[in-house]
Amino acid sequence: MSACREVDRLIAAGREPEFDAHVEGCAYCAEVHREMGRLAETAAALGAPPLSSSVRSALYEIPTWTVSCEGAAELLAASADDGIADADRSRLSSHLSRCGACSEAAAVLEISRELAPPEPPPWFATKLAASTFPRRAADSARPGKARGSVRRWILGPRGAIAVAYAAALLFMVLGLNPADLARKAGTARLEQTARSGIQVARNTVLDRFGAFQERAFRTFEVVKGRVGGYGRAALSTALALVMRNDTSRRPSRPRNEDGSGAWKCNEVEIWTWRAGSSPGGRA
Amino acid sequence: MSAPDEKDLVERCRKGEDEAWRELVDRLGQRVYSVAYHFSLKREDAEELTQEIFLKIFENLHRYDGGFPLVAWVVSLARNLCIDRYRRRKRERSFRFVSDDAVAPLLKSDDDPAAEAIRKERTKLLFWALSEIPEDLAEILVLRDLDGLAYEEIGRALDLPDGTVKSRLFRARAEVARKVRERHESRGPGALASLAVAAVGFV
Repeated sequence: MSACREVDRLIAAGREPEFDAHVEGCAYCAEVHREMGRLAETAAALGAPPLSSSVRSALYEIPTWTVSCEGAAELLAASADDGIADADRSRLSSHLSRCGACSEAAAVLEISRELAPPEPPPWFATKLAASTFPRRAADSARPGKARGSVRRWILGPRGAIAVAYAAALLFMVLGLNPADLARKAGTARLEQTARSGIQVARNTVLDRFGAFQERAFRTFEVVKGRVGGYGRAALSTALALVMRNDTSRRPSRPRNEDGSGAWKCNEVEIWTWRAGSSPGGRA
Repeated sequence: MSAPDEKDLVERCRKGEDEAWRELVDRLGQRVYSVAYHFSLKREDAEELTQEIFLKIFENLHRYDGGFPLVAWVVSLARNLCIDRYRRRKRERSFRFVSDDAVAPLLKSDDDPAAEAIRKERTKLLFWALSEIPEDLAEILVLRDLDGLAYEEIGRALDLPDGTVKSRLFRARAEVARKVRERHESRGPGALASLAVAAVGFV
């Protein structure tokens, strides 16, 4: 018995009535139809596997050890403010371990509580006050402004940096190491920050001192050179005056043989070369 | 149970009434377990899946709006979870090599061992054929013929019109029948009597 192609079309189209009609005259499809009937009987005769009592009991217990997604949201909200009972906390954690969406929501809520407010820079308050209260800034520009400007400088960025340097220097001079204090306080982070701060302050001070030292040496050398030069000149002049009888000043310019002095500009012989000629017409 | 009653039952479950939840488990537990078992064909897996499905139901009770039968909503959840769990290894799952133990819980006990053996072999053949046909056809046949869901419930669960459900069910049955025939034919003339051979062992 060869396979019938008509059945493919009818089955693919899901056309049951046409298939039933086709079955009447096609042995192959009739056999398929009988097989369908047998399988349907088999499927219908299959019983449902019994649900065991232990599984049923476990299903009853579900609400006692977990919460729904909307219950989790309520518990998360409650836990942020007043705290929740241990049983609820256990049910919530059980749900969070299973539900990715609620777990993400819980993590976001937790982060929102942990975030610290950003610290403004030291001069921000002053700057803000100046920009917010122009009258106060104008007042500070009046006659008593010298005092105000000092205060502004102290409270300004430069003042803050200077105070920080001075404090670090003072600590170093007094032998108080902020890093040691931080270590005693048991705060590793503070200790590390203090150490790096001290290192920066030390480097800065050393740099400043080195620059100052170098500048002082240079200045000293310049002064010494100038003093030495003038001194030597004065000494040689004094010696010349003492050692010579004729103190008249010698001409510094070259003289002619007749002692008439240097050539004047118009006495300079200027000649140009011509063929057969020589300077001054001399042959 | 009408849709308003089911909505009321779900509402009471959401409010935390233990009795309501027990009623829901009693009403749907067996059906959910059947769906899980027909997907896995293993008792341990089916029990684990059933608990997972009911956890999912409990966690998502607020999503049920009462717009259609509760069983359709539950079967839809169960189906999605089963597919998530089994889709990757569906084609190599136990459907191809259905054991006697796997089909035993599905068979009603029979006084005639030969008849029981034939039904067992035919059931194994049915699950083998289901693994050979397209997935969307096989699942409708399982939901209708094995789980006993109505056309409307299947349509709601799979988000399909009733006409499509009927059409696919017919195609699924026809494809299964053809697969069975092709298997018999490929084994030669004597293979058609394989079911009888199974029965002979009990005679």
